[in-house]
Amino acid sequence: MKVKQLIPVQKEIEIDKLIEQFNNEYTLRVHDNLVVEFANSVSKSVLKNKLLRQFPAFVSLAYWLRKSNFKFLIASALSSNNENIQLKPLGAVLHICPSNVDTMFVYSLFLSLLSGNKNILRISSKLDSQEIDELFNILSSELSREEFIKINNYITVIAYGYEREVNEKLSLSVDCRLIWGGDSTVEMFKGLKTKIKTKDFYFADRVSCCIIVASTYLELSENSKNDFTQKFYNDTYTFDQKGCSSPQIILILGTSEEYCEFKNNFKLKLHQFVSREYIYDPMSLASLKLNKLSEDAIERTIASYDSVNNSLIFCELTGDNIPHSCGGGYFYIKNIEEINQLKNFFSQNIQTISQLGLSHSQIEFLVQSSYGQGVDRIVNVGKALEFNPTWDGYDLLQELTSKLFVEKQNFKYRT
Amino acid sequence: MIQTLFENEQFSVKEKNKWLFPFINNLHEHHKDKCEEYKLISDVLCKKEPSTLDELPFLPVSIFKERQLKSIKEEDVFKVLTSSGTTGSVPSKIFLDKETAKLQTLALSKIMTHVLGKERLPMLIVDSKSVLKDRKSFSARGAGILGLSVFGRKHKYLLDDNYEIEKDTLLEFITLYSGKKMLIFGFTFMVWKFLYESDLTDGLDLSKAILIHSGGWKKLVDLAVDNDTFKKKLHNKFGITSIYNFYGMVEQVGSVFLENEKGYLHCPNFADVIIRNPEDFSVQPHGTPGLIQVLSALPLSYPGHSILTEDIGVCMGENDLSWKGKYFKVLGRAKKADLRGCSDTFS
Repeated sequence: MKVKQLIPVQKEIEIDKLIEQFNNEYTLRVHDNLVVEFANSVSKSVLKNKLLRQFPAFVSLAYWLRKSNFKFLIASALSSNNENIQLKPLGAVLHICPSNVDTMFVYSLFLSLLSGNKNILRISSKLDSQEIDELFNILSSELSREEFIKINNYITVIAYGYEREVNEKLSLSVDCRLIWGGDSTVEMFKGLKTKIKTKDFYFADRVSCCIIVASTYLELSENSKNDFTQKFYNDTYTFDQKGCSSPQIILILGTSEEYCEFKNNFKLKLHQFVSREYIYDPMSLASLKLNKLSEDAIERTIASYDSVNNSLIFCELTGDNIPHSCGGGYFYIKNIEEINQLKNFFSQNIQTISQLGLSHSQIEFLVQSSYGQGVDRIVNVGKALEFNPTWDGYDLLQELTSKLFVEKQNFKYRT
Repeated sequence: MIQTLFENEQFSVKEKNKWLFPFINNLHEHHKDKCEEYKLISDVLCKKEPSTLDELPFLPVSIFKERQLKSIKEEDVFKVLTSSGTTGSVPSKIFLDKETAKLQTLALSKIMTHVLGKERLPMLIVDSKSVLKDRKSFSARGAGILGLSVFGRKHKYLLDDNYEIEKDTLLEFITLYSGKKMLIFGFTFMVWKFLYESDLTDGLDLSKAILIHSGGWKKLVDLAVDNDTFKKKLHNKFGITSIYNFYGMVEQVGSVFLENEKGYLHCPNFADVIIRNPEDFSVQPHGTPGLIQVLSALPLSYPGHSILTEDIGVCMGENDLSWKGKYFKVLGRAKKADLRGCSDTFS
């Protein structure tokens, strides 16, 4: 059974041959300085790339890959370990990457590489993204440089379709699987046999919401309101509002008067950014929105809607359930008068809460009321898409290494 | 009553708001009363009482794939129309009662006699009889053929069950009717592939034939064949001069928009189009492309009287010299929105 290999070099490769390569010698150490240099070099190339540097998501990625950040990551990973603990890689890690332009899988790839693991990335053979192609070109050319030859063994990207046999073989051969994808993808992989000790990380379907204290927003100066709106825009429209951590629901804490005032003000402000910056195909977006409005009306999910045009729609949510938006600027919105009403919205599905104006004690309250529920991140508006090594409840940098207990050699037999 | 829309000469109504709005607004009220889903959608989409055609709410055409909408009781379903759709996609399902089915037949006859005259012509169908096999669930192609067949006589299917040209019997048909008035009907791409691209040439004089075709240009666009090329090539090869394309969809009975000699589509008396701005659904001025909304006074049994299609069109003007009302062109199909989250690795 052959698959198409994209990185380190383009060729057809027999899947068994690929698996054999896992047995090659481990030439990198955990937190190897060569990986830090490699990441830094990729970072520079991304920033120099004319296409990629136009996209905020890739600029953030490049920023995250810098040497100083990696040194910081290593230092914080080491600080929590005691002196008897030595870190070692988990082994071979299979990454199942999403078929959109979301860059999250690149972050987890580099964390895994930094942990000294051998990585194999599965890309959908249907993936059609100029940006990702460009990023892969950068990785290929960096890997081909003399100084990074040791890393060649550590990153393999392959593209294939639905072939179950390939998934079965890979699942049985790796020591860890990171599965970015929807519920059905996760379930499919959960059904495949793995080694007994294989460690899995699932990044399934999640929704995210934004909580805004109306009075906080309304008291902001005109400049700060604009600044806030730009941040909200970046959180939502960057990946067509389809990133897992992009808010689909806006919950407004305040009186009904404050709510109306907020909505009218914010709608126009946000629309200014959208009409200036958001690039979309109006014909397809119009049909998408009308379909979703009709579906939501039939399901009684929404009671009414409010829009300036089809690139920005606020739908008045009727109940406490968290529906999935169709993206492209389709927001569910609801007024909440008391903080303890918020917990009605928590479910296993909630990933990120981005917020404006919540106090320490209110956040503390949210944390406690999320016990046994979803909610993996509470961040300020503007940081919804910012990657953190702690993601979906996993501290990836810790979890992607194995901990080896080595007793201190200070005991001596009497001679 | 609705009869007035049928009795008047087709393509003659100038003031659609005056003549058509009362009928369609009645349907709007009727479906709100009889179809719960329609009422729910209308309550969300329609912010005030409509007083003109463009103020009526419109359903997205794909809702008929996702939902089975009807305003009649199950036992009154007389016929179910399904869209052919591409393989793998869910077909639309349209529920007709006897009354709506009757109106549909009547509407089609009014439109066709407008170009064919009252006499039934010998008819050549550019398709295979096998598309009619499942009588219970008509595909769009099957329904089109059956609908048009009543306007012809001595029906002859060009293709056999294996989509091969039936040469022997065809020769018989040609000997009888070559050079005479006849009706040819087929789906646009079928006409191109099986009639134009066939090796039938010798002795085939179709100069007096009337060719009616429909089904969309999607497949022909891939071959870089547009309406003008289509007409010119068929004329050069067979001498056909009367070629009429029509635009319609299974989701809206009664909307058969017929092309005139100039290549523009015209609205029959009981239907209309509105071109919508995709940014905010406002009405586009003539000459500016947008999404095509279709309206029809015929759908009594299901809420299909006002539908926003995923087709892009442009209204070219109103009240042409010969045919009245709006005339428009179809430019293509809107792309499927491709907004994907982290959530579909394996799609």
